[in-house]
Order: sequence, then structure tokens, then C-alpha cells
Amino acid sequence: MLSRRQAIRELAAKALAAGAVDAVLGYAPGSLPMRMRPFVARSPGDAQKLDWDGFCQNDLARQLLRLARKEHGRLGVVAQGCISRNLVVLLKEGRLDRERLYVIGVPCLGMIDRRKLAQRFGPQSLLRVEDTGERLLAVTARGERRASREPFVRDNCLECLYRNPVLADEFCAPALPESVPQARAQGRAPGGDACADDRLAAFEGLYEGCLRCDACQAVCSLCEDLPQAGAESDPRTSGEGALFDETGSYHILRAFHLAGRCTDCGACEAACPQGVALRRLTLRINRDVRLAFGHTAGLRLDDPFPLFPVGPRSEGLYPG
Amino acid sequence: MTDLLLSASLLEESLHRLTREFELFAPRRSGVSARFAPASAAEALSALDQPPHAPVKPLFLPQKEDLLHFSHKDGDPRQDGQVPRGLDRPRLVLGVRPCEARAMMGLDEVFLADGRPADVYWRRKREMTLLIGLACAHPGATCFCTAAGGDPHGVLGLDALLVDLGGRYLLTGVSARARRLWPDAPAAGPGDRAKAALAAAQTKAGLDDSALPMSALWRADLLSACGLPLWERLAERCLQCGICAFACPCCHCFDILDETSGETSRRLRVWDSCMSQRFTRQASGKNPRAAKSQRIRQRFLHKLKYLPMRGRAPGCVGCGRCVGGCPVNIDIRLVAKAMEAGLSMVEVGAGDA
Repeated sequence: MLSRRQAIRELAAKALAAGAVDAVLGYAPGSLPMRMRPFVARSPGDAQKLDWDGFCQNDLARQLLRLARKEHGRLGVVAQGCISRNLVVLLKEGRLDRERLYVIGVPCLGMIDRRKLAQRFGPQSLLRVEDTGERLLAVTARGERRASREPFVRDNCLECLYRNPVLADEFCAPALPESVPQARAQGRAPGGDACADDRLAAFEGLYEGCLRCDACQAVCSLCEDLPQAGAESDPRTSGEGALFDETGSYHILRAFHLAGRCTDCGACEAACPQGVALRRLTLRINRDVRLAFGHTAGLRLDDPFPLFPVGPRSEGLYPG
Repeated sequence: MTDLLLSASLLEESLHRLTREFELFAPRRSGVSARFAPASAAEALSALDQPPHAPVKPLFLPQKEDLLHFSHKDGDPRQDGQVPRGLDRPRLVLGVRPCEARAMMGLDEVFLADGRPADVYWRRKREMTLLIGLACAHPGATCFCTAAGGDPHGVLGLDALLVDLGGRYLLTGVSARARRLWPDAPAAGPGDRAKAALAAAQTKAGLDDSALPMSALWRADLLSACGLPLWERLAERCLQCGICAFACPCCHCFDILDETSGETSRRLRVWDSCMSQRFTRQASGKNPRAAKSQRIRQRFLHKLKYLPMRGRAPGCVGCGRCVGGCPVNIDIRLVAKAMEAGLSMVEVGAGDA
């Protein structure tokens, strides 16, 4: 991880010093253990604060969309495999300009699931976790423990087929061998092949704890238009508030509007404060799109979307 | 009232006895989060051993709550609206954190006082519920109650506080309502009280009481605070998801909706959040807080400045749930420090907002 961090800093500092970009969007250490948070570097000095490890859990393309609207120059972004694929989808949809982007690609070793760590070590006792890329060093009140990464890697990262960015101007590390994961989520629908009533019960059980905070939508770069679609519709289909039927509508709406677009970056599940198993829906839809159309989202700029034509550049997106 | 001493067996026996009158609630892990759920006496007792941080707010202000039921049918008595039945049985909530209880006092100001008729839904639940706290022993990375004027062994807002002394509990801060619950408990001796005081000191030593520069914020010039570049910097990463508002024990905004199905309607309230883009949108279409940076500013100024300016308790009790929940690690402690310093966010290091 040290070499990635160093390379990201050097590439960002160089681009900023040369005036090739006005800002570089990456991560910096957070205020808590096991946190990296999105950070915008605007000078070579800022670039020295950029960092990278297995706790970079967001979808930076979401912040990038807003930055690209607010600013007029070129923007750098640090992107691993899945996020580079989100960028491809956004570029195809005309929401981003390729000429304005400078992508620092990160071959990704997988994100760490904080909750798996908390379960193993106890939520209160972890003071700090260092991710070296090969292993984790967990510092607790009772001393230090070394652990291998794999038991704590996020579920979606364990199944990742595209660790290397598909779109990048520079790479901060050598390419990783793409692995064929041992256990690939088959994209079983909630309830599998049970009868309709049981499947409905399984579906409803999926979002039982949902608070309708909409963090899953808010953290996802591909869901930026969703609040207007849901809450502005009349009659209201999925407004605010965890009304039981509306919560289901919201999750269906979100999952289906991601069809052919979702790259399974996992930012949604990582953000959910209630642990809703959001990927149960999106994985099923991704699988169906793969089987029906032979399409996997975000791999190539010239690969047409299976379900809708690319329209004119989207305007009037979610302001603010 | 003097402090009492409850042995583990006396506490267990009393909980069994009290389940005849009360519905017992205890903190329970629920996936990655926690909530107060109905519990047996045995479950409630075991939940006192390192309980998860469960929020108390949803017991009084649920995520969704029916306010009125209507009917459109001729002759149906519900044509004039009918308030749903409230709680059937009184509730005894065990294992409440002192920070949560303190926040409840702020919510009481909103729902019960404030010079308006009381919120009857809130009031009935409050009247029917006793809150028994558990003093905190191990502050987490996100805890900063002392910096917000609180106390991990505080009794404010509680009907009683249990302090774990190892195999037995000191029962302190017993309210008039709760006095009758433990008629046979002996008085605590000076040794027990000293042990509790030591535990309190040890817990407080683990907390940073300078984490929130509250008095400096109260005094700061309002227009300067409004003009800080900090708000735009935070807007660069804030997702406006509203997890902070939903998790916060002091936040209480709600929306009211009418739902009609066939010949019946219901009016209900649901949680809302000032972080939402539509929160201040008016019927005319105008929105005084259309920009995300304005909404972020409003959230922090309301909690840390406007409330104290009006002589109210600040809108933060240092429970840390917003800090733990924010997907982009916006930390109110660092926001407050940055406000105080009047810094823009050009300088960033680990620990900057």
C-alpha cells in the first residue's frame, strides 16, 4: 500500500504543479480508525495528504460528478477497477467529459469490511488498523494482532473480476493478475426458487430494517437522478419515509434503474447503516443482464447499453 | 433519594416481578446496528453486559407513526378522524445510555413545552415509559459526551441509573416515579458509592472533554460563521443521505403525509432530514436552502449555535452516532473545531474536518 500511496501522491502533485488539473479527487485519512474519506487536493502540498488502503470504501465518481459541475477546469480522480468502470458508464451517458478527466488508476487489492473486523475483534477495542496490502495490523487495547486480509475483505471484492482499472491515464502500481474467484455469487433472487408468497416474504425481509435514509442512492454515482424520479412522481411511488410498500418500490426502482449499469462496487452496502443486503437485488439484475445480453457494465466505452439508447447529455441533474 | 444497591440476583428478581406490570425493553444487536426491543427479564439482564449502542428516540418518535385514521364512508364514526390507541402497557426500558437520556430532555422541550399544546403522541409515550440507564464503562472512538457537557454516569433524563460494580449495581438518581420499583433494595454504603465514583472517573479519563469547543462557538459572530469556506468544503463530500439526522438522538424533524386507500385514509408522520434537498422547498417552488453547502451549514449552526443563542441546550450530546454512521466521515468534532478556528479547509491533514 505504501507504494500505491507514494505513487498517487507523486502523480497528483505532478499534475497539479504542471497545471494539467485544477484538483485531484482521492482519499485522505479519516478521523476514526479504519476510515479513509474523500478529499480534494488543490495544490502539490495538498497532494501529500492523499492516501490509499483497503478502507477507501466510497464511490468517488459520485463526488466527481458534483465537482465537475462546480468547476470548469480539468479534474484528476483516483480510481480502482470498479470505480473506473463507473466512470465508463458515466462517460457513455454523457455525464462526464473524457477530455476533462485525468484518471490515476489503482489496481485494487480489495476493500476491507469494517464490520467483519469489528465482529472479530470487538467493535470498541480496535484503536487502529493498518493495511499493508498483504496483511492487516490490528491495534487493540490489549495489544497488536496481525491478520491476513482475505477473511476481512468485502464480499463484493471477493467476487471481483476487474481489479485493474479499465480506464486510466496513469497507473500507480503494476497490474494485478485478474483472478477467477472461487465463490461467485450466483445472483440468486431473494427466496430463490420458492413459491411466490415465500419469495415475496424473502424480498420484504430484505429491507425490513431500511430507514429510508437513502444513503445507498446517495453514495452511488449511477443513482444521482434517483431522488427526483422517486419523490417527484405523482402519484408518489417511493417518496420519503419508510412506508412499507414505498420502501419496496424504492429498492425495486433503484435496482432496476441500475440494470446494465451497476458494476457491483459495493459502496451502497458499505454505506447502509442498517446492513440491508442491497446486493441481493443488484446481483440478480446484473446476472440477468449478463445472461440475456452478454453485457457486463462499464468495461468498454464503445459497448452499447443493452436496455436503452444513449441519449443526449443529461441536464438539470440533482443540483447542489 | 439515597442510592440503592442491587445485587445481580435482586436485579434479576425485580425484573421478573416488573414484567407483570411493564413491557420490558433492552438493547439488542440487529444486524450491524442495534435497537431497543421487547425482552424477557433474562434477556434484559444479559443485555446489560456490554450492551450495543441502541437509540432511544425511535421508542418515542418512531420512523413512521399513524396520527389519525379517517373514513370517507357515510355514518362511519371515523369521519371526524380517530386517534389510534396509544400504548397498552407501560414500558420499562433498560440499558439506556446517559447521552441518549440527555437528548430526550431536549426533545421534551420541542414536543412538550415551547409554549404550544403538547404533542399528544409523544406525551403519552413519555408518561407510559420509564428509562433506566446504564453508566458507560468503555467509551468508544466516537464518544465525546463530556465535551458536549454530558457525563457517562449522568442521571439527567433518566428515571434511574445503574452503575455496574461487578456482580452488583449501584442504583442512583432514582426519580419519584421509579421509587416504588425497588422497595426492598438496601441503601448503598459509602464503599459502593466510592467504587462507583472511581468507575466514573476512569471512564471520563478515557474521554476527550475538549473535543467540542462549545463556549467558543456560542460566542462567535454569526455572520462570520455563516461565511466560512468550511461549508463548501464539506459539501464536496457530503452525500446528503441523512444518516446523521436519523442516527442523532437530538434530531427530530418529521414530515406529515396523508395516505388514502379506498374509503379510508390515514395521516402519518415520518422522519425527515434537513439534509434533504427538498426540506425547505416551498409550495411556490422557491427553496431558501437549495445549495448543499447551505443545508450543511444549517445543520451544524442549528445544533452548535442557534440553540444555545436561544438559551436552549445545544443539539449535540456527544453520542457519536453521526460520526460512526457518516459514509464520508464528516466528524462534528472536527467541524466544530474548524468553525472555531475560522479556517477554510485548504489545509487538511488527518483529523481535519
